[in-house]
Formats: sequence, structure tokens, C-alpha cells
Amino acid sequence: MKKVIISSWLILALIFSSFTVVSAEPSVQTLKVGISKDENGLNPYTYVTGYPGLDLVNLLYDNLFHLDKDNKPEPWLVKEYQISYDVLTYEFKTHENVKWHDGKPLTSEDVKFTIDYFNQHPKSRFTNPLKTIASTTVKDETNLTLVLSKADPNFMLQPLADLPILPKHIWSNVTNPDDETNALGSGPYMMVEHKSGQYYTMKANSDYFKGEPPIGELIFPIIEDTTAMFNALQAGEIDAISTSISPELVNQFESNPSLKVARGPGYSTTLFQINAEKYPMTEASFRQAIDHAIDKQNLVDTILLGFAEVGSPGFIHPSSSYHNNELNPVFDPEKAKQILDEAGFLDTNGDGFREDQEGKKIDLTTLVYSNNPIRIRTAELVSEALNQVGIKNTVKAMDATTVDSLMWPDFDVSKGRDFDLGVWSWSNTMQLFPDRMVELFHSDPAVGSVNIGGYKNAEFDQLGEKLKNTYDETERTNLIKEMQAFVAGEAPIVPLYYQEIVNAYNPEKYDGFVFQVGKGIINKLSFVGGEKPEEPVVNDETDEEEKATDKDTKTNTDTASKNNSGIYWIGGIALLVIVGYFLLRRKKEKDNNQDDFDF
Amino acid sequence: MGKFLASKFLQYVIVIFLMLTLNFLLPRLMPGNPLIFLAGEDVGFMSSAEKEAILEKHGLNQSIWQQYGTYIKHIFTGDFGYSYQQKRPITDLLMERLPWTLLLTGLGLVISTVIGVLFGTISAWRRGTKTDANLLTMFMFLSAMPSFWVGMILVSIFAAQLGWFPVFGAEAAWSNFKGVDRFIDIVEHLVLPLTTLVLISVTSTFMIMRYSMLNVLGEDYIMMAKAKGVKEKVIKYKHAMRNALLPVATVFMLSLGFTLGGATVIETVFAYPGVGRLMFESVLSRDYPLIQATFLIITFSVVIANFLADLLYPLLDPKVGK
Repeated sequence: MKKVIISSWLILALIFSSFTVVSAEPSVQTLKVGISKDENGLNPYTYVTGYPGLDLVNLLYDNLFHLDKDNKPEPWLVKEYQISYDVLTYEFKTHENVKWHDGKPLTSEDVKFTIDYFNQHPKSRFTNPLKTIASTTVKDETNLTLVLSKADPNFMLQPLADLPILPKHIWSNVTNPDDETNALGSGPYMMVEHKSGQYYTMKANSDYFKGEPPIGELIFPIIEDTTAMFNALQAGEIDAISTSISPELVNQFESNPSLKVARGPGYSTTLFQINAEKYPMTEASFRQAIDHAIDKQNLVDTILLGFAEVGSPGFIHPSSSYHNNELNPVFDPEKAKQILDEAGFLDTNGDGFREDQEGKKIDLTTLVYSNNPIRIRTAELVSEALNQVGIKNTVKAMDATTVDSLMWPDFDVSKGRDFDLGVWSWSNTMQLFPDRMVELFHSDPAVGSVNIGGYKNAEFDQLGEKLKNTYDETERTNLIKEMQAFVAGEAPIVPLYYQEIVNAYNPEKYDGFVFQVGKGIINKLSFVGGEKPEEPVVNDETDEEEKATDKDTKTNTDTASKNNSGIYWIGGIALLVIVGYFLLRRKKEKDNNQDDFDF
Repeated sequence: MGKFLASKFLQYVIVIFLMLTLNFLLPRLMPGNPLIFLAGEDVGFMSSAEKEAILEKHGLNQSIWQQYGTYIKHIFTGDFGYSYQQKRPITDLLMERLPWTLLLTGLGLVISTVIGVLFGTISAWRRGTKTDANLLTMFMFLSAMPSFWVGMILVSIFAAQLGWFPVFGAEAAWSNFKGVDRFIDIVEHLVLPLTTLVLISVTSTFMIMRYSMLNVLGEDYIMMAKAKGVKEKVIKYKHAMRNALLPVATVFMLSLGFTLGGATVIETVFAYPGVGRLMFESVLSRDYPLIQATFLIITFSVVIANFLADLLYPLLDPKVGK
């Protein structure tokens, strides 16, 4: 029996040792990009996430304009355009040679159809920005005029650089777009196959009006576990990943000679959300004390290992042109204590924590998503800092849907809220559109649709109304800066940090990636041909050094990895020998002392 | 026998009805609702009317009793409905996932049972010797390791470092392998998750087998057989092991019912497209129809496996039926 076991082990070991990774071809015939979620059907109605889901949709469809790597709109389907002085009339001339994937031409009729269709079948992201359009006139196959009912300062961003153009000949027959699986567009790639939960494949659209795309076949395997995703990239099974690398792994990836790391500012904002509707958080002084108690720099250094920007107290990212430079993050626990003392939050019973102005106990809860280790650590450090200044609170980590249901019931701020404090985060669109400041803090739920803390201040509301009716760019910037100063002073939220995006890819497979600020390398610009706007890697200084030392490290690690596999071999053989010896000896022993039953 | 079957059948009907009800209630008792997964990320910028329309479309604004009625009706017509999150018929989803889950957990169960039985027998036979102590230590050690950890270690050594096996997935489906190539590809993808599954699940069989074997070895007929001078091998495998297998058979049948539920953790670590992962995702996204369907499958298969065990037991052990 044992002989059988040993020999079968040996046979197995021999069989498996013959498996090796098949080395890849140098040309860009196929590129595998790992994504972390199934995005369902990749058409504008059924995709799931804004990133990378919508970016995959944009590989199949085109927009009139497109955001460049700094998120400025540039003409895409549009060849020439004219905007009237009153900013109400937009005249477009689109490229002539644009074809749908089935060969039919894309014309102004399709654009008009798309606008009408989204109005008829609402999909909030695309439909809401269309509401200012008063009329759409098709002049001929490539000429189109849009007239707005009132000027819209964001019109170029949304809808023009966001709305995917749908083929009329297909969607005119679609009555229930939410269940539609068709993904035929005019984009640089065509959908080939989608296996639910497993992968997507796309192939290059060789007729693309901007020239043939650089990659023959794009495969997007779905790998939900991020560790598995990182492993797959390091093992060379996939060539790039959509997920940002967690801070503690960045060094490991940077030292891997076959990978290149692209870093840049991220626009997702992690903040400490305060329920401004619930006493004592209704008191501005209490909120200011919270702001002063938290060391944001420390969060960036210890949790994010420096791969983040410290939160600006006015919410807007420091790299944004709307950022108010006069505002600086505060950290002063003594000041926090002083503010609390002066406002009457004193420790009257001597338990080490403060009571409220009437002497009642304060015991708060800090909510956080349980699926995000970085945020849990953040919540713990923040909670600790608050306890230090005498604000008693405990961290409670719960699954995302549960936290949402407490902090933002039914995603409708008019339905109230049931929390004290929480670590929260807004996705990058909040930073892309600084107007959303109004939606974040306006007291009317119809306007302040994401004011999840229920913050109310008539002065801020006035600023918001003013911004809505201001079209001059300088005035708008000034207003937005004023709002930031207001938010910094009132502290309805405490912005903590903006985590950097760190992407990694295999440059030998494909090196044409473009890093889009606030997003990363998975975007349309990375996968179309033509001139590339500079290097994708953002941290230029270190890049030079890396290149200089690249060669040595490469050869070194190459031999090192060979040595490594040698060690594994020797270790494996040694293990087999030891096990074999051990088992054979057992057998001998058994033969010597025949029976040793002890019932 | 007929009466026995009838009473058993009634029991199962009641159990199934209770399970169906619980199955309906549990997902709805969880805080939160599937709105964000129905509406997408822009849910914050939607008007109340738009949100209302979405809920209405999926019948989520009906009273709980109406929803329960529809649910029961659908079960009897075999219609699981659409997944909220994946927006596809649930039957399709399950049909895609079930074969992989059965391959992984089914094989895992068979292999770990065989290994557990063999080593349990050896260990009990040599009770008190070094072999027994070593085997016990080894299996206890195995059972103490969490499955995600074993999985990650195996991946980082054999897939990421050595590159012997693929890191993720059930097959490189986009490569369009055919015939033998496809088979090899699937086996390659299966090795690591299967090893993990066997490593973490083998201990329970081993322990049960060892304990049961020890009991049997204490029986008089073993002493008798020994006294008669029956060969050791015959006593060990024919007299003792076969009789000691009964409790293992029970556990096997029970586990068989759970195989359809997949191995959530392992499927996640290896990105294996099984039912376990589907279930996990459905819970996170409050995908009520999908939660119901996956739980229902598990419930039914456990009940059926139990029923089969009840039927088989008298055949395995004639003492039970009488």
C-alpha cells in the first residue's frame, strides 16, 4: 500500500513538474487585462461600475467628445464645432468615415436618435445632463445643431464627452433597454464574447475611423479576489490590471523587473462623515473639534504608506484648478480640547470622556465598510484620535449594504439617516464636477441629493443658488473656492485623503497605456492608436532613476529567480526523500514488532 | 416499509415548506435593499420617482405577502426569475456554475473521503504507535489551517512562483481549447483548488473513521477472528473497516447534499466560477431571487441526500430497518 502511495506521489510530482508557463509572443496580438467584477452586458444601459465598466463600454461605443488624460474634453466623433456667444447653440460637424461594427455609416441621425432615446428611456447618468437641450436639428449626414434652453457650464463634460452614441438601426427596436444584451457600437473594439463571471473578449475594429487599434484581441478575465489578481499579474498570466495596487504591495511590484508601475493622483475622496442632524454633531464647535483632533497626515503615512494626498478641508482635490490654496488641513488636539471646553462639552463625571452641554453622556458609533481593510484601519485611527480628546466613540464595521442602509437609507437623503459618524468615500465624479459641492451640502434634498449628513446652512444654500446661475468661469471658480472655505470652517465632513491610483502592467506585452488623472490606465486612450500624449508614468523623477538602474536589477533578479526555482527543486526533492525514508523505516519497524494492538 | 416511507415523506414535506419560508424571509430580514444594484452607481442622483419605478418594475414595492405569493407560485412553476445584479435568467446562471462546482466539490468529497478512510483505518489499527500519533498530529494540523490561507500559500508557491499551475479560473476558456487540450487545461486549473479543498476537509473523515474503527476493533468478533488466526489484512479491511464505514457513509451523504453549495472561500481565492461564489455575491448585493435560488438548491439537495441516506441505511446496516 505504502509503495503505491509513494510511487503515485512520485509520478504525480513528475507529471506536474513538466508544466511550465508558455512564453508569450512579443507582438500585441492579445492583451489580457484583469478586471474585478462582472460588468454584465457592456452597453450604456447595462454596465455596472463607472470604472472600469463604463470605460469598457467606451471601447465599444464612441462619444462626440472625449476626456483627455487631464480630463479636458477633446473632439472625438466631432471634427469641427462652433459654439455661439450666448453659449446656447452648438454646431457640430462629425467625421465622415465613421461606421458601426456592422458596416452601416454613423450619421447625425444616430446622434439625434441617441438624445431622444435617452430622454425616452431614462438612465440617470446620461439622461439628466440632456435636460438642458431644447432642440436637436439634423442638417445633413454629418452636420448637427444643438440648442440649449439655458447655458450649462458642464455641457462639454456631460453629456458631450460622456454620452455614448447608439446605433439607430438597432436601438429603435429596443423597448426594454435594461434587459438588452446587444453591444454593437462604433468604437475601436468589437464585442466577441461574454462568459458571465469569467471573461469578456473583444477584437480590434480594423475599420475604425481613427485608424486600426494597436491590439488585435483584448481579453478581460474577471478575477474577484484582489490577491489572485495581483498573483496572476506577477505570474504573467495577465498583462495589466484595472484594480489599484494596495500600498503595502507597491514596492514588491516596483521591484518586479517584468512589470511597470504607473502612479497618479486619484479622485476618490475618503472622508469622515458627520451626521449634522443629530446632537451634539449639530454644534459647529463639536464638528470643528473633530476636525482638529484628526491627524490626516498620519493616516496617509501609516495606513497608505504615503500613496495618497492629504485631504483638503474644503473637499476639492489640491490638483484641481478649482482648489482653494488658502486652505490647509488642521491637526491640533489641544485646540480641539479647548474648543470643546469652551463650548461646554466637559468631563463632569471623571470617566475620561466628555459629557454634553447638559451633562448627559456622549457615546458615539463610527461606521465603516467591513470589506475594506484600509478604511477599517482609518476608522480605528480616527476613532482613537477622537477618544484622545474625550469624544467617546467605537468603531463598528458592517457589510457595505448595511452601512449604506444606515447612512443613506434608500439612497434618498430625504428619508433621513441613522448614524453618528462614519468613514465614507465618494467616487471620482465628485471631483470631476466641482458643482457637486452644492449637491453635497445644500439643505434641500432635491438639490443636495448627496448631503448624507443632513447638513443645513442658509448661507451655504445661497452660495449654491448663486453658483447655479453663474456662467463666467472666473466667477464660478471664486464661488467654488468660497464654498470650500465655508465647508472648511463648518466641518460638515472632514476630508481625510485622496488615495493615489497605482496601476501595474507588463510593458513587454504592451507599453501604450495612458494614465488618465483620477482614473488610471484602463481607459479608451490606452487602447487606441495614433499619437500618444507622453509617457503614462506620472512620477517622472523616480522614473529616470529607475531606468538607470533597471538593467542591473533586471539581470540580478533574473539569476536570483533562477536560483530561487533551484531552491524549490532541491527542497522538493529533499522533502520527497525524507518522506520516503521515513515511510520505509516505518515499514521496517512494523516488520520487527509485529502486532501492537492495545484495546 | 410503506408506512416508514409515508411518515418520512410527510416529515420532508414539512421541512421543505419551512425551508421555503425561511428562504424567503432571511434575505429580506437583512438590512438594506438591492436598489443600488438595480439602479447602478448613479443611484444618488436619481429622483424618488425614478427609484420608485425601478422598485415597481421588480415588484419590490408590493406587500411582503404579495411577494411571498409570487415567490411560492414561481417555485412551483420552476421559474427562478431574473438575477437583479446580473440581469440574466437565474437558471442560466446556475447551469453555468453548477458543473464547475460539482467537479470541484464532488471530486473533493470523494478524494477526501477515500484518503480519510484509508488513513483513519491505518491510524486506528496502529493505535498508540508512532504512526498513529504522527497521523493524528498531521491531520489535526491540516484541520487547523484556514482554507483561504492554504489556498493563498498554494497559489503563491505553485502558481505565482513556480508557474506550474494557473493562478485563477476553471479554464482558459478564451483559448478555445478542444478535446484533450481542453481536458488538460481544466485539470491544470483544478489541481490547486482541489488540493486545498481536500487538505482542509480530509480531517473530519479521518477522525470519524479512526474513532469508528477503534470501536469496531474492540468488538468480540475481531478478537474471535484473531483467535481463529485469520490473516491480519483480512481482519483489517474485511471485518473491521467495512463495519466501521457506517458513520462515514452518513457524513458522506450529508456532505453530498452540501456539494451543490460549492466551496465559497476556495472558489473566491481561485476565482473559480462555482455556485459558492455566486451565492456570496448574491448575498452582498441583496440579489433576492438569486439568494433564494441558490439557498433553495442547497436546501433541496441536503433534504434529498438525507432522504437517500434514510433509504440506504437499512441496506448498509440491516439492524436499522428492523
